Amino acid sequence: MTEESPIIELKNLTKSYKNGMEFRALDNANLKIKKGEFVAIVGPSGSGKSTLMHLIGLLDTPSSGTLLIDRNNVTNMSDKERSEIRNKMLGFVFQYHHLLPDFTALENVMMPLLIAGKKRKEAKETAEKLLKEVGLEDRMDHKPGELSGGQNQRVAIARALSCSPAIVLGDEPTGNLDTKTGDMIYELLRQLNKEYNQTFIVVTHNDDMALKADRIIRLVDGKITVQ
Amino acid sequence: MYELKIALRQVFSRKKQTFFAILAVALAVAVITVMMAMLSGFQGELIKSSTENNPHIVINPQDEKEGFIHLYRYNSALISDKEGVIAVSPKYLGQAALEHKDNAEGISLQGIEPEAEDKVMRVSKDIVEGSFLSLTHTRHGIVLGDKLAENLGVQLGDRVDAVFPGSKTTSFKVIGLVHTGTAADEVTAYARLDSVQEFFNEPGVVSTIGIRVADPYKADSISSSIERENELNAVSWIEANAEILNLLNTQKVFVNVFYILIYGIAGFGIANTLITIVAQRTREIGILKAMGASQKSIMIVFLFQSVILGAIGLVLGTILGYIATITLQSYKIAVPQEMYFGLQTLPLEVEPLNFVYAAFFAFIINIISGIYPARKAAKLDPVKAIESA
Ligand SMILES: Nc1ncnc2c1ncn2[C@@H]1O[C@H](COP(=O)(O)OP(=O)(O)O)[C@@H](O)[C@H]1O
Ligand SMILES: [Mg+2]
Repeated sequence: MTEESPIIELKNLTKSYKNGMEFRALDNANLKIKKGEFVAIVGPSGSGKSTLMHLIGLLDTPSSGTLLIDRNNVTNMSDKERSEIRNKMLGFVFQYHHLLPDFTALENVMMPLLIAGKKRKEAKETAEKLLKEVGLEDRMDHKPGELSGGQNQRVAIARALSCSPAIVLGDEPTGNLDTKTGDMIYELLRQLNKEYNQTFIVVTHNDDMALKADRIIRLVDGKITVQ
Repeated sequence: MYELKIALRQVFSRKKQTFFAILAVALAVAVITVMMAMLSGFQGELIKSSTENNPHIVINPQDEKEGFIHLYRYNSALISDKEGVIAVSPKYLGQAALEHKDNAEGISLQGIEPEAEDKVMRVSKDIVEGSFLSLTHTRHGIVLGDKLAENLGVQLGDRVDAVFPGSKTTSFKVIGLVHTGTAADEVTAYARLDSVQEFFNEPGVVSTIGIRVADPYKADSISSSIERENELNAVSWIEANAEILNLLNTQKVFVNVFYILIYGIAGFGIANTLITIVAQRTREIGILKAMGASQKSIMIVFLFQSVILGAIGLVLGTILGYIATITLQSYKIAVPQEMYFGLQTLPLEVEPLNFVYAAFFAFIINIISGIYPARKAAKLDPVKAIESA
């Protein structure tokens, strides 16, 4: 593999909370992730996995250090620029599906495309294609309340992929599902990663799943211990 | 415009909440339009009653003791030539008695030039029998208030005798009856100016001159021009009613304070609903941000919601206000006379501009009430929002 510049680079990235005394949820993290990599993040509860995902996902701001996404320093960007990167370059899958309850599966998947300013027709076509890909072509007009946990999580994956993001972030995307469904979802993510060469960063508690990743990153007490 | 799509979906998914927010705006607009209709109606009625059947400008004698205006023909001619003046009616006013058979009544005898007086005072409108303008060619004709005629026991065509100490008793033929619906019907009698002057032995003078102008709102400037150029003592209807008009203006200040309070309450209703929506939608706001919705977009989503609530509210409110005004109009609610300057029923006027004002301000209030909740939503921390229950 040729030495190309990493799509994500963390330099001494730190997130600390101050209530009384300083507490570092993420402590001086240095990390490079290449384009197309599938990275699993593991670690005990409270070790800072979600904090790391939120920072990379531009949902949170670091206390110190820098974060480069596609060689751009995103730490000091305006809300508008950060929103645009979230929309165009990043896709999220959370532990709970977090779909908009008043919108159908199709509309939920279309939403990031509409936010990106895409035409309705184009957004609809893309969303339909993605829902087909995750096996929900016959559930497109159902609202989240009318779908099972696994189905909703697949809608959430389709939504995360809708704007063809360079980076897909999953924070325990299978954590709320039974083992069988969880495995299926994980397989789906792995398959999509190979298909589209998108970068995947997935937090998981499941060792079998982690072993299927290109790389495992372990967090303990906010520190990266194994790369 | 995905912001509008989200706003519509969110606003209409909670029916009860939406209903009450809309109701608050609708009621505020309705109450305000009805109040405006009352105020416009009241003012309109006042102006109408002061200008329709009354002279817009009255010339009074310079010297109050003497009580007469000299050279009235010359002065009337000069005033007639002024721009905006429609009619000039000199009038001799005198107290006398009328006798018919055994009946006698004290009267206020008005010596007038029939055509001029009719133009200024619209007397013909109130004639119930006979004719007012017949006075023009009936030297000793008289037009009586209908109550006066009844008290004297006379009918059209009967003769009455005018009596005044020191004057020659003169016989007049009743050629018209007038009904104004006021106390004046018991004492008013019109006769030709020349006959009345002759009766009182005061040729060449009058007591007042009434003037009608084309635009009642120009009465003031015409009045002062008469005072300046003709050196006469002129009073416009605006000056004469200054107290009432001032009172109306003071009242307007209070009414405006009242409007602000009503709008304030409606505004709080909207703000409260939106704050509730923002609280309920906190997680969704976080998700939208994760999908790339900017703070500005989130702000727009919630401003749209306040605009949607407000727009529906103000449309319903104007319809409601219109219906209420029309209904109140048709009920003809009686008002205590001494309080409202002789008005008998509550005057309501449907003035389209009032509806525009009420709706416009409701809209502004809405946007203002939407700003705080919308900003709050926009500033939410996405991580906390997504993790909120
Ligand atoms: N807003 C916050 N204020 C204070 N402490 C926080 C906050 N958010 C997270 N933490 C702390 O940071 C640590 C890491 O949290 P998190 O990244 O959610 O861990 P994980 O996802 O690995 O379970 C935890 O100890 C948590 O209590
Ligand atoms: Mg976590």
